[in-house]
Amino acid sequence: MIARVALTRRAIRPGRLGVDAAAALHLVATFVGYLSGAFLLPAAVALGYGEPVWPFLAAGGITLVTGVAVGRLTGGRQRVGLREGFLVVSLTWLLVPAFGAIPYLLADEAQLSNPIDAYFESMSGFTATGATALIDIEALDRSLVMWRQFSQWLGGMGIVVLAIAILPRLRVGGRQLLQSELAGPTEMERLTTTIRETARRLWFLYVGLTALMILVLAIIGWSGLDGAMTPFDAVAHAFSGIAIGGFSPRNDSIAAFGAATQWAIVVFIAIAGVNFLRLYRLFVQRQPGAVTRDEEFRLYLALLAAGSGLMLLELVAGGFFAGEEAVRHAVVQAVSIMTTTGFASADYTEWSALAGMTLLVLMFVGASAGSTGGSIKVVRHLLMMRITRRELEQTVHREAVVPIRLNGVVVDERALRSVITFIALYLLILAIGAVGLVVDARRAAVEIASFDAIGAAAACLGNVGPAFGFAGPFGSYEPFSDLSTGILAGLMWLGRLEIIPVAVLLTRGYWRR
Amino acid sequence: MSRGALERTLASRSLGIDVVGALNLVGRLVKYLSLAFLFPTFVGLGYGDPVWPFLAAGAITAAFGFGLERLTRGGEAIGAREGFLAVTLTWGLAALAASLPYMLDEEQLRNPLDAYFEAMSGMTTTGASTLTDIPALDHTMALWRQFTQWLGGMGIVVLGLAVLPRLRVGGRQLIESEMPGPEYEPLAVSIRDTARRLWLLYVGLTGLMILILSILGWTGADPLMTPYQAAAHAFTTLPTGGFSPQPRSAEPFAAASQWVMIAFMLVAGANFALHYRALRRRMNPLRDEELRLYLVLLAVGTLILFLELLRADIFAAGETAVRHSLFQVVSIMTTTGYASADFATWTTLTSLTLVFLMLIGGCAGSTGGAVKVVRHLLIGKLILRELDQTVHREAVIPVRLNGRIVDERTLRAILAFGLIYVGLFVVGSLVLTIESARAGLEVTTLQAIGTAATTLGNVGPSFGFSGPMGSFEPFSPFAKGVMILLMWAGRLEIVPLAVLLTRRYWRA
Repeated sequence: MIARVALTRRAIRPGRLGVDAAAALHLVATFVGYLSGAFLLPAAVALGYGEPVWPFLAAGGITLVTGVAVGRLTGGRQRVGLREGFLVVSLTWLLVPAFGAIPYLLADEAQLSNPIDAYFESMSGFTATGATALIDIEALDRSLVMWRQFSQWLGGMGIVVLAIAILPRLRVGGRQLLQSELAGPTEMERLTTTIRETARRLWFLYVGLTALMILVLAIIGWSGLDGAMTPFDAVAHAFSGIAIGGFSPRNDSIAAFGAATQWAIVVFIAIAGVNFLRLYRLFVQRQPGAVTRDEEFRLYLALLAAGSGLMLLELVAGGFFAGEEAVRHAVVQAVSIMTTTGFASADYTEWSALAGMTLLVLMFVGASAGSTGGSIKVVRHLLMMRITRRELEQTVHREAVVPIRLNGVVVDERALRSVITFIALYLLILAIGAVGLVVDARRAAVEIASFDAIGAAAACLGNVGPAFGFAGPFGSYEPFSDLSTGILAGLMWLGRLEIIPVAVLLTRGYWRR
Repeated sequence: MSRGALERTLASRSLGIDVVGALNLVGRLVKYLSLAFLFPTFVGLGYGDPVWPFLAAGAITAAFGFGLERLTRGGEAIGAREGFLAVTLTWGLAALAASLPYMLDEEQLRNPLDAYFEAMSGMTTTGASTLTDIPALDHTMALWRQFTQWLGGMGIVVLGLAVLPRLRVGGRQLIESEMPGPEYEPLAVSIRDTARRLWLLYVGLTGLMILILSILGWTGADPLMTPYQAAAHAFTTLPTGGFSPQPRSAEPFAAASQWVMIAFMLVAGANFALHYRALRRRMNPLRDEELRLYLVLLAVGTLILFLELLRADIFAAGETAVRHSLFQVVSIMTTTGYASADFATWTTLTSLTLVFLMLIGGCAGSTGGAVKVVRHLLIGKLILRELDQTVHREAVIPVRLNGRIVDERTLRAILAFGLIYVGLFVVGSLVLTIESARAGLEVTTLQAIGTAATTLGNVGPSFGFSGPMGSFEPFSPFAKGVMILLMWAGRLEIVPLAVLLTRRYWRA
């Protein structure tokens, strides 16, 4: 055993490699090991509902054993630096969904018996996307449904840490964009320490918001405002709402609930789409200015309002709804899609082409940086507009040196360049994904329009969830072929990690000393 | 209005640019354009077609040009800043002048919007047409259509190699034009100098193509290729235009003619400065990184189309399949727009491949449109560098093109251009989809995307009813207006037009 450990270490320790792959794997194994604890919640639910518990216990066992075994094989010293961070986040987000898919397979759930579908569902959960390969969600065991919701909540937690603590330190997303003042000037510290520190503070906020949402929804249910809202639904929707996930235990998403519930959910997802660092300063440190004076927050609100207004116009003009109903459906859909949540209060695929286009565009906006939302994010759009304007001005006034500011602070040129690079890569991957879907759909004889293919790729890459056509909000991704399902799972993974950590792994320079 | 009053109005102190000088230059250019109407006049006399529309159009153009020039006073002192205005206006007005004969005497183009669309498509060398019955045109009108592309192409060579780099659009390094003098000369002088040299090359290549095609016709290798057809197609190949007097584009011609067209499209899609240097100094053009990528992309595109055509049983293996895949790829990627077969009826994969090629475009300094190969090359290098720098933070890695370091400002301008281009493309596709839905027109997303890409990239044909053998006539007037704007913006590489929309451009 010892000899084997040494052998493995020699093979993947630095020497020829510039990256400490063993240390990275060790950290990934640690995360996977912790994941095993997560299976206790659905196991408890299964006990309560009298459903089979063993799939969750077995999944927990497999996960724990794998985590510990890999951890032992890769040695104990944790020397994970920034460079290993790329490998760690990429692998973690790839492997955690794989282990999370085990209960779907073990529970003998016919709809997810195909391993790729199970992996897709799990990836959609942990990346807080909300796309589903299920056709009849209500047919699932309650415990399995709750695991599905819980995976989004866990993913959302991971995403907050990823977006605020890890990615900025890896120079992805850019520190300036978040203006993180929470964690100290810790670039020199070991990655794990700073992550732990940031995570502890955000954990509190995330759990608090979730608890508040459960409470609000449960009160709506108890008070008789909405008879459909059971405590189970309250917990389930709070899990996927704060995580900006979009899974629902109902086949009809949140259309199954009354107006009061839908309004409450909209408010919470709009809050969850705000930068968590700013929410922390608002709620915990009581500095309202941190949020209200933030340029990104203002643009975020403006875009939400504009999107809702446009949808309202289209719904009224198209004669789909009137009065409060029109306002509610416009706001729910616009907020849900733009923040990349994916709840739906109505089947928007039946609306006009114009409404579909509006939603497609909103999918590319995304929520704020440092939130659990996906897609391009508002701050990048903000900076992109400023970069374009500056470029045009400098074309005329050649000698002018015009710095770009965000909240009054000059953003450095490297961060700006990485914003442009990110958007370019995002669009490139979207195009490749959409083409892949179209070509594969034709091969597999699946009927899909180009628009729907683009929509599905955008919905997965942006971690939105529902798309158009058969993959609409009340529909399912089930008709896609296995290859397409794999492509879509890959897009969710890339979108969640903001592409660059994965792209970096593909360069030769990364692996060299 | 008296000359003095107009000048006083335009020269008011609040403006930072010399509008009068810019208008003066525009007036002079438009004035010269009136001479172009002499060509169809002679042709009309030869064929016995009515010549009055051309004489009238020429007279109106000349009167307008003279009038504008007299009302303003410029000299040659206009600078780079005025250049944006002059370039943008010139292209808009040149298309207007070119549309006059259509409006005056062509039944299918009586509607001014359709006529302007056709003329803009000509002057920007796009090749999209609103005509539904091309053979109904008389010889002269059909040749005028071809000739507008040739004129536009000439303007583009000058624009791409002489004007835009001086306006900091496109970037000097990208073209590595060593022909013109220093940047501090007045714009008009250096443009004239560059133009003179390129003029010869462009005319020479056109003449060569007419000759080769005519020989094919005379020798009986292609009985359809009359001298008229030879001239008509040479006029639209060198500017990578794509208009054809044939309703089914290049399809009816023999294989030999199609191969000749392929060769000349390839030449027209490459950098003219490179041709010039290759001819004068006998340097090896294959050492140019852009040209190599250009050829590689063409080869990859051809291979995809070839395999898909075989797989879908559209053509049997052999010369025909190779020719049709190569022809379509070269035609679309160089943004020419001819078709040797109706590719709108092919498969989804071929359509998507062609849409991608529409976004690539020819080389910088060619008559082709779209994003251009060199920009893709540099964006690729930039992304790689960005990824490298994400890991190796302190590394300072310059981006090189042909061994020379490209400066950071140029790189930023390229990225900004790429994103503005994609942004405009997306907005165009959305507007076309929405507008078509509103107008009750059956337009698929692919067709809307293809139409936006084809007009913004100055390619020509799209998919669906606006395919290579079809027409853009069914689109609503608003959609046509959007396409005119896209063609215009695409031809000017967007930035000169966009700059005019910023407030700081007009300020002192």
